[in-house]
Amino acid sequence: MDMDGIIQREQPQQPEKPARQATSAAVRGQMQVPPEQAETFEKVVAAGRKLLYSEQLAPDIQETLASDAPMGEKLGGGVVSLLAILMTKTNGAIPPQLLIPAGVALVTEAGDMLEEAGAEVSDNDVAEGVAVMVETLLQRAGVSLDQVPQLLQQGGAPAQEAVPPAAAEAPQPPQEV
Amino acid sequence: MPQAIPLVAAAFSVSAGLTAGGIMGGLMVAGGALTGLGALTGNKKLARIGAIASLAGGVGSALGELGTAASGAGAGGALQTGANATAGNTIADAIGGGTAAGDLAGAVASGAAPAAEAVAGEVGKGILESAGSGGSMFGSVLDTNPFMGGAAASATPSLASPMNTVSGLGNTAGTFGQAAGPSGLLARAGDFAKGVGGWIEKNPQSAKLVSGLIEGAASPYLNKLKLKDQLEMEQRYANWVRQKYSDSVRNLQIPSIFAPVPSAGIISGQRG
Repeated sequence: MDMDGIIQREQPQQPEKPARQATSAAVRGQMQVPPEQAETFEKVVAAGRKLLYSEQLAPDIQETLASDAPMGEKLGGGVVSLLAILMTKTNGAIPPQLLIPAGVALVTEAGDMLEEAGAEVSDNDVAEGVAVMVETLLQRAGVSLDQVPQLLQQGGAPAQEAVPPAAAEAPQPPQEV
Repeated sequence: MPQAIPLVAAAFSVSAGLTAGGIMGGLMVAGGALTGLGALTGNKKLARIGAIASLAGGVGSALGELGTAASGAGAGGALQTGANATAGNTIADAIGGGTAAGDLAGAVASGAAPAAEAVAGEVGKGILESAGSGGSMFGSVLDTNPFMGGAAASATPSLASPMNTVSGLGNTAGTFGQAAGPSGLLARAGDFAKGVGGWIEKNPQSAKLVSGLIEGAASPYLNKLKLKDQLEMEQRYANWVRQKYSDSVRNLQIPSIFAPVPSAGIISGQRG
């Protein structure tokens, strides 16, 4: 009996786990960030990634692994919080049109990270996380999924797009602060 | 001179104003990824969002054509590009009061430019400050978010990383580091956003205009807010990740099956 034989017999047979396709690299490759905003997008994602991997957040992420919440909610809700922190700390200087793309990138990034940390993260979890993130951002803007097509139609109609110059000089600020 | 408002309120006024056109623009940009993910996983919610994004893409094309037309009309072009800092200040004044523009410009000019550094540094400050008061820096966020739950116990002095060198944002850190409560950060952001959302619904044209103006005005500031040295940050990040991985296996218990076999028979015989 040789040592190789012992090791081979006693090693548990791990079922082949299908590779996750919704990785950060794969998903980001499908996003169509305008070239003029690509650099800004990368900066926002880099800042979010740095926060995600920061030592300050490490204990919270470790607790996430032990949480009972569905993985999708952890990913989506967590990234919304990251975006809120980034928006606050940059005085809202992040272009709003980059929030959802950056959020998608960070959800997949967080999925990769949690998987490397030993958590079970599937493509479905990442997809659910992205959905939660997008839906939450829309809700925080006071918009539901049902309202989006209507708002787009309302706001995108060429007839309503023209704004008189007087209005351009002095737009009224929101009153509820 | 517009009435001065707190920095945090100014920040929220800016960020909340961004929600109108910005979210839709984001859907357009990320539409491909959303649709791909929905198709890959069969996630119905995501597939629905992807369909909306496709619609947004169509409307966005129309808006883009309008923007091109406007750019040839002088003032429209200036608003669209947002390259004029003076215009940006005026716009910000009109939108959120003079403090909004002043604080943002001040933050840029005072060297708070490395956004990621500021974020990381302020996070540490917030945790340390709230640790002193028995609260959690993320407590307010955590009230609505399981991802960052229970940070209070982890707020230790060791979190005072060397990155906590960014100054000038202490006032926001203090506010940001308040103990948890019903008026959490996200709750306040959400409430404010909802309020603005109502205003947007009542004033769709003005909201669209405000959003566009902010987007344009934010561009030059954001350029200044970019990291001074991207390579340095990436390198430090890589070093940190490497250290994390090293730490994670430092005291790893090796399964006995991989440990050296005490018997000298077979192995020593093979060596001999």
